[in-house]
Amino acid sequence: VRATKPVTFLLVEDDEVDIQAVRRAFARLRLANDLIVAHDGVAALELLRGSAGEPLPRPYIVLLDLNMPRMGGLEFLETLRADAGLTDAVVFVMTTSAEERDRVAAYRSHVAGYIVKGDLSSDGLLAAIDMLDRYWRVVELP
Amino acid sequence: MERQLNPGEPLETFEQSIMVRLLVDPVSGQIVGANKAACHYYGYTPEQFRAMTISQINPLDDATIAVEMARASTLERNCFRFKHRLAGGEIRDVDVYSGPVTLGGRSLLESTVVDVTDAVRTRRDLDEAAEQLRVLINTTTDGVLTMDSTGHLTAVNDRYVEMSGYSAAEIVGMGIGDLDANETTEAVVGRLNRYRESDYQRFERVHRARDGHLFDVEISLSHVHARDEFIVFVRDITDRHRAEQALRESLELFQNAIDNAPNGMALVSPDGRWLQVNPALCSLTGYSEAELLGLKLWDIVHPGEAATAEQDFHDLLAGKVATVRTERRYVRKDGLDVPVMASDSLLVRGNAQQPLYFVVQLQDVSEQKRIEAGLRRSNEELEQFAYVVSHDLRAPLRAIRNLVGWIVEDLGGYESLPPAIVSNIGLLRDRTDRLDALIEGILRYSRIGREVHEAVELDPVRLIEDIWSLLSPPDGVDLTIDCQIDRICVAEVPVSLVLRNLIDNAVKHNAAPGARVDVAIAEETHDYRFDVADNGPGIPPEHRERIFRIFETLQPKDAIGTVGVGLALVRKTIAQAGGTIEVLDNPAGKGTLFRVRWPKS
Repeated sequence: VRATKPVTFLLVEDDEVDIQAVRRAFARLRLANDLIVAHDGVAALELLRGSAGEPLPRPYIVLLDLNMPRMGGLEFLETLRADAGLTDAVVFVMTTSAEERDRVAAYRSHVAGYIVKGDLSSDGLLAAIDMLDRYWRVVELP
Repeated sequence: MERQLNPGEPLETFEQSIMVRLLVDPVSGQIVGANKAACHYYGYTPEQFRAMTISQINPLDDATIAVEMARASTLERNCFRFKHRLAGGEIRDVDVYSGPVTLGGRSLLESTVVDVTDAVRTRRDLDEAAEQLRVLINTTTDGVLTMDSTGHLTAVNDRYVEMSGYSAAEIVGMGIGDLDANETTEAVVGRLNRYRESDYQRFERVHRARDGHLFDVEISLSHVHARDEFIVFVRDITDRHRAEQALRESLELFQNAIDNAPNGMALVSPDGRWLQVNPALCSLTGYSEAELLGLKLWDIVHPGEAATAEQDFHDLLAGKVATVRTERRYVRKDGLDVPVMASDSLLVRGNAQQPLYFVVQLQDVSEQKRIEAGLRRSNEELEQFAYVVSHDLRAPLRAIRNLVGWIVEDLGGYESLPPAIVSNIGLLRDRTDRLDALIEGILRYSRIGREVHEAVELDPVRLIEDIWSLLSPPDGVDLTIDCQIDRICVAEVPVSLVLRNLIDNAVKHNAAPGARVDVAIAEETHDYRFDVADNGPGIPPEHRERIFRIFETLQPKDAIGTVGVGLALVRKTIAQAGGTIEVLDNPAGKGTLFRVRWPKS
């Protein structure tokens, strides 16, 4: 068993309820990982680049909503991939949008997964967070 | 009266006569003598003649000849019209003058033969001509009159009798002025010299019939010099005048229609010049008629499309295509582009199959384009709207739902809550679920027609069974399927959406024990017919239209867990495919029958 440094989750999400849902899922699954929240793409980029101090230490996984004020998820992805220091970041999209054009655009920007929060129950989200917990433990991250 | 040839008339006279003369034995028919003129005429030598009988010259049978000769011998007759055969075989018409003579004690017939072939032929030709003329005059569809130099009529044919209503006896002796409605006989006679100078005159007049009615006639008049008579052909042209009038009127109508047509219409010459343009075309292009007539068809087409327009035109000219119907941009005189649906066609060919002109129609489609663009924009907006609805409307719903769950969780679970709160939380969740279903319904409704589905071959029974099992109907509800066809070829997604909704409705609206759903599938000429029947409460006729409106239900929404989108979806889907749906009483008794006709692919 290799000694893995716990991954930090960066949640890019503007909706307080959705943020709370993720926090509650973390609590239910007893995840001790750091969960940092940015309320839109601009704030997330500032955190990742360390515009107001140190850049976010690796390893990290970005959980990205698509519909946000100022800078939406797809625009954030484009900026991220164009940034030499961030282009390799691992991003999962977590959105309510099941639109095909959103999914296609997200994968074109090399997201690691596209998760639709379609289900009204919180079980779907719980399963997704559980998957992410296993994921970071198994996968070698950049 | 028997004539003595000798001594009263010496044999030399017979011999030297310039008339063709023969001596014949009337009993035997033997030719006893023939003079020089006879030898010359018939082409035999005197010796040959003496060895011949008359029957070798006269093709009549011997008995007839004998009878005729007996008549001549007794002077009963002395002039005969015969046909005689010459030595060369030619048959000639001859008059034979015969009488008895005595020569050397023998009773003979002396005949003088006169060739009348030409006279006979001329006479026959004249008779034929007269007969032809008679037939012609009596069968012609024209009336024919003959008129003398005093303007009085001397003869009339049946046709004119028919036209005028006068009898032939009444007309003969009338002056021409009695028939002409506008002229006196004297006036006509005053002009006769002019008619005499030319062979032939044609003019139109009006004649008055016996009963007073007037009829238009065309007169063809010719002068017969020999008798100073006039032959007057009278043709009734009342019908022709009427037809000409009708044609004039219909041409005027046609011209009117073109002048007032809302679309530009024009005739264009084979080299592309505008020949004739209507006012609509002028207003469409902004050019006056005079300006257009100096231009070619493609001169006013947008420069980017002019070459194509010219090519289309040459293809028409070459007969490669019969019609070109295409959208082109024209440039108005004021420089503005105008999108036009152009239809160039029907190269009208003359008798010699020559290209005469093209018929060009131009329809201004600017308005249509504006509407299309607007429609496209509103479709895009609708799509955007659907997107916003799906995200922005559903996200807060989900948040409410989550928040309710967390409140319950934070209060220590349902077990620690009073029953009234548990019940209200249940109602709250119910309403959020229904709102979500409603939004989902709107989205699906708005997507109909924007998605294209390919037709596939399906087993119809299997299709129904799959739908049934997915619906997970309550126990005790029976399904029957009546289907005689193995395969249907339809777009699966919309068809199964329709059938699923209809079957689901049939189940939902019938909670009574013994509920059943009967599905029948049949093939018709152009459609597949799907009947979905239930034995539920039925739908009163006054509600049968209402049920298809979106968000309409006939029962409280809580009671059946519906939002009133299903049948609206069904009808829109069917309409999109070109099918129909009817609501009927179930012929099996109680309940409703939904009948869907879905066009075959």
